[in-house]
Formats: sequence, structure tokens, C-alpha cells
Amino acid sequence: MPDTPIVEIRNLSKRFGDLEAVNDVSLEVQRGEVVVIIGPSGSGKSTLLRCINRLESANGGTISIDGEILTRDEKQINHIRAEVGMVFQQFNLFPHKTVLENITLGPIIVKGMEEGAAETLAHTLLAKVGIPEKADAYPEQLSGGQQQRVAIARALAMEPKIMLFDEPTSALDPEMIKEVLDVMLDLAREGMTMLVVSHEMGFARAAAHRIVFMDQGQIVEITTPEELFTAPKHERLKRFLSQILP
Amino acid sequence: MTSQLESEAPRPHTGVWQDDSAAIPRERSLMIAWWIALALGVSFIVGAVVFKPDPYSEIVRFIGDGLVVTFQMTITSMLFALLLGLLAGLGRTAPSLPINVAASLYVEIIRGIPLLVQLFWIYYALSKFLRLGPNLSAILGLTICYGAYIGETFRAGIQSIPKGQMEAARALGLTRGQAMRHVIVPQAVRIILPPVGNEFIAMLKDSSLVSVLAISDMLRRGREYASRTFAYFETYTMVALVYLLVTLVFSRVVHYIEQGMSRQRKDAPVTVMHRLSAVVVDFVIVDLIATPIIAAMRGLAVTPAMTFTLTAAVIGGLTAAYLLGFWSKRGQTPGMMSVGLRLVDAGGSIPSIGQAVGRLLISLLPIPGLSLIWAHPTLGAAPLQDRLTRTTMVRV
Repeated sequence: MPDTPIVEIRNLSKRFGDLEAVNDVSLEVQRGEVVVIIGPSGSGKSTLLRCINRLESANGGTISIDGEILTRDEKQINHIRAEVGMVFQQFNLFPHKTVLENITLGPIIVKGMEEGAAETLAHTLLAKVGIPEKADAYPEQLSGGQQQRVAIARALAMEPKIMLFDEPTSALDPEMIKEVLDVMLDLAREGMTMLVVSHEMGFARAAAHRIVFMDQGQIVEITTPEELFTAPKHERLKRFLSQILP
Repeated sequence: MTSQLESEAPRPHTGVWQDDSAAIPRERSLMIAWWIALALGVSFIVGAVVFKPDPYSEIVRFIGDGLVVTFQMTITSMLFALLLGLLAGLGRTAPSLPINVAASLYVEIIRGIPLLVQLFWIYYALSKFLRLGPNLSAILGLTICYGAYIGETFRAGIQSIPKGQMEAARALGLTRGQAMRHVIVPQAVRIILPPVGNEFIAMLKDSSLVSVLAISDMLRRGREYASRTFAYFETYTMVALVYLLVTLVFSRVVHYIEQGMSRQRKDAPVTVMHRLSAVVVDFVIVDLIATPIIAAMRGLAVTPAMTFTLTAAVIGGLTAAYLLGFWSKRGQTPGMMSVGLRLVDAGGSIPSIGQAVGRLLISLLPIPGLSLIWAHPTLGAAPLQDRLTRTTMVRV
């Protein structure tokens, strides 16, 4: 297996007007690694994630995906996006399409997969996220947890090299969080490379290889789950933890 | 959108005022008013024709020809206005500045000039450089004017789709164009269907303006009749009533489309009115598709009978393709979709054979569209003149 990291971020900066949302951030994610990003709101976690598949275009620095440096070329961006799965806080399922159609859209349109093959793949993925019976339902007929699991299946259908999760459980009712986290844990166990913005400490403890703490657009500390709870180094991280932990 | 419409969901039938303190539901008072207007309009026309056939039955036949022309003008213009409107709407939401400015310029200029002035300008002023016939001028005028309004409707529809939809599509690797085509526009179409239906009704009424270009639409036919017989009251009353009836029918259809947006895939009761509305929508859509084909084929036909046969063939073929295409793939036609009906109920429960046959039949009803009616040899351009002369000779 080659040693190039799946994601390599070098000196990335992103401004919104006067606000430095991401300020000179560098980070590498290795194949099979699960990295959880935590930090107060407005610390640039989501922006960092969205720069990786170019939903935001950076102002400075470089990002390479599996050794390929992101440029402004539309074709290359689309090609990269097809290899980077993304799960959103608000699910963003397509409400006019059935669950099955939501999942098969990407493979059919972007990869030119046969309809039948795409549907077989979709059924397999639905079984994997635990809702095989919902293939013909519309998103609005599903609970939030089920919708998010469909969204994960939709991203997996592209057979991505890495999955990005942007606060996947923040919009969910408490009792639905676990079903989504379980799916994510399974993915992590299977060796999927994952970059997760989330404050679910249970998930971080169980699955994360590294935890990145961001504040004011910068990475303050990179640590392991064990050290995070026992020996946080920076004062800012200690304060943050004291606020989010019960 | 959903929450606003959900408040209009059908209420239990326990009398008109179940609770004195509650406001009368807007939906109910509108429905009552609709039935009263319909009943008054129909009974007046029928009564007049039956009890005073002279001059009413003649008026009805006379302006009946005009009604066909009115529909012809409206449907043809609507087809082009929808295409132009889609372009304008996409242009107004395009990321490129020049395209955006061009689309905005079109919309701003056209919306600032009254339709009647536009029609005069195209027919009379433009003739200094380019002489267009009255029909072409009328269709062009209606198309350009309504294209601007429908364009704004499309823009609003596209912009009402949450930003996350485009992001989710792009994140899968779809291009902007693919995302528009597969994700944004299909959702926007559902949202703009009711306003576009209202534009259709508005255009149907505004098409009376083309009578100034000497086109024999309903108003023009009425004017011709009245100026020869001096029966102004009788004629214009009939013209007004026919416009009213047609508009009433379509406004109800738009109402069910509005309702359908919220009842889509939900288990709300389905009435005959819903099914009839689906029929009317399919009817108009088949006609929209058939109109340019038939227009192109006019040149082939030598006799009126041949025109009729060709039209029937086109409409029949289109209808079959339309129904089979949508049923086999989606279990519902666009008309059924627009009012929220499915052949197979949501959740996949299969209807009984009787139900299924009934539903199929009622969806089949519409289908020879309006094109077939106006292609019929006894109607259309040639016989109009005869009948006019005949009337003139008898009356004057």
C-alpha cells in the first residue's frame, strides 16, 4: 500500500470577508484513519471539511486527495468530488426521489453505471445501513435517523476513498443519534477513511485514531482519544472540554 | 409551503359551521363561491340558448369558433413562453454575470411595457422593418410578454430550493448542469406549477387583447357579431360568461394542483374533482406537445379532412406514448403527479382491479386534446368566413 496520505492539507486559508475562517491549517489523513475534528462553533471545522471537496474554494494553501493536488479545473473537481463522500448536518436528501433513486443517482449519472447494477448496489448499501425495507419510500416518510443513514448510503454508493461527515448527528433527536453513530462505527471498523466533525465523544472514544481540536480557524492541538480526556495540553481545549463534557 | 397548505387539508363533514367561534375556512367559502359562479354561468347560457334561441344559440355558435382560436393562441403562446421562461429563469440564476444581466434586462424591459402596447409595437411599429402576420405577431407578443413573467416564476422556484440540495448534488460529483437537470429543476417545477397555472389563466384572459390585431378570437368574433346585429348586450354577456366558465374550470384545476403539492404521497381522500383536474392537466400537456407537430404537418394536408386525420394520428400516437411512457415508468402521468395522485398508492399497495380500471379510464378521458377539436373540418379558419357571411345576409 502506498504511503501517500489520502488527504494532505498544506497551509490552507479561507476568508469570508474579514473573517479568517480557516487560517494556515495543515493536516494529513492516512488511509484507513478516522480523524475527529472538534472545536467551538465558528472555529472553522466545517469550512475546513468543505474545502476538501471544494464546496468552498480556498484562498491559500494546497489540498491533495490521494496525491492529486486540487486545482480550479471543473473537470478535476468533479472527479475528486466523486471520490470524496460527504454527509451533511441537514441530510440534504433529494425529496423528489425515492430512497433508491437518491442512492443510484450518483453512480448512474457520474459513473455511468447500469441502472440495474446501481439498484443492486443500492439495495446492498441499504441493508448495510439497516433499512433495506425503505427502498421505495420518499425521504419525508423517514425519521431523521433513517434519512441520515440513507445519506450515508448515498455517499457510499460512489465508493469513495474517504468519507467526510459534517456534524452528522447535530440535527437529530437524541434517540436517533445512536442508530447513525452505529453505522459510522461499522464503517470505521471496516477500515473506511473518515474525517468527522462532531462532538459525539462516545464515537470519538470508540473509533477515532486522532482528535483535532480547532479554535479560531487554527488547529490548536492534535491528540489521541485517551490523551484528550486524561491529559489535554492547551488551556483552551481544557475549557472547551469542561463545557461539552457532563 | 407544506405547513401553509396543510392547514387547508379537508375537514370532516359535520356541517358547514361546526364551531361558531371558528373562522369560516377560506377553502370552504371559495369552494361555495366557485360552485355558485359555475351554476349561474352554466344555467344562464343554457337557459338563454333554450328559451331564447334567437339570438343566443347563434351567438354561442359564433363565438364558439372564436373560443377555439383563443385556445389555439393561448396554448401555442404558452408553449413558447414556458421555454422562454425556463431560459430566462436559468439565466437569472446563472453564475455568469453577462448571462445574468442579459436575462435581467429582458425581464425588466418587458415587464415595464403593457402587453397591449407590445402587441401594437410588434404588429404596427415593427412592420417598418419586418412585416409579421397578425397570427405570428400575436403569438410573438404573448410569448415574449409572458416569457418574462414565467421567467421570474422559474427564478423564484429555483431559488426557493435549499442551498444544500445543490451542494449534495455537487458533492456526489454532478456538474452544475446535471445538478440543475436532475435535482434542482424537477423540484422547482413542482413549486412553480401552481403559479404557472395561474399564468396560463391570465394569458387565456389576456389573449382577448390580440383581437386588436384582427385575429378572430372570441372577443373579436363577438364584436363582429354585435356590430352587425347591434345585439351588444346579448353578445358581450355571452362572451363574458364563456370566458368566466373557462377560467373557473382552470382555476379549480390550479387549486387542486396547489393542494396536490402538499398531499403528494400522503393519504388524503381522492375525489372525482381531483381526477378530473388531472385529466385537464394531461389534456393541456398533450396539446402543448402536439401543437408544433401539427403546425408543421399542416403543409402536408391538402384537404380539411386530411388535416383532421393527420391531427388525430398525431394526437393518438402522442397520447399512447405519453400514457404508456409515464405509467410504465412512474405509475402516474404528469397530470396525476401534479394533483398528487398515483395509480399505485403510496407505500406500494396495489389497487383492486375495479379501482385500477376506473382510474385508467378516467385518465384516458381527456386525451384527444383541443388540437383535434380545432382541426375538425367543420371548425377552423375556412368555415368561419362562410358563417359570418351567412349571418350577415340574414341579419342586415
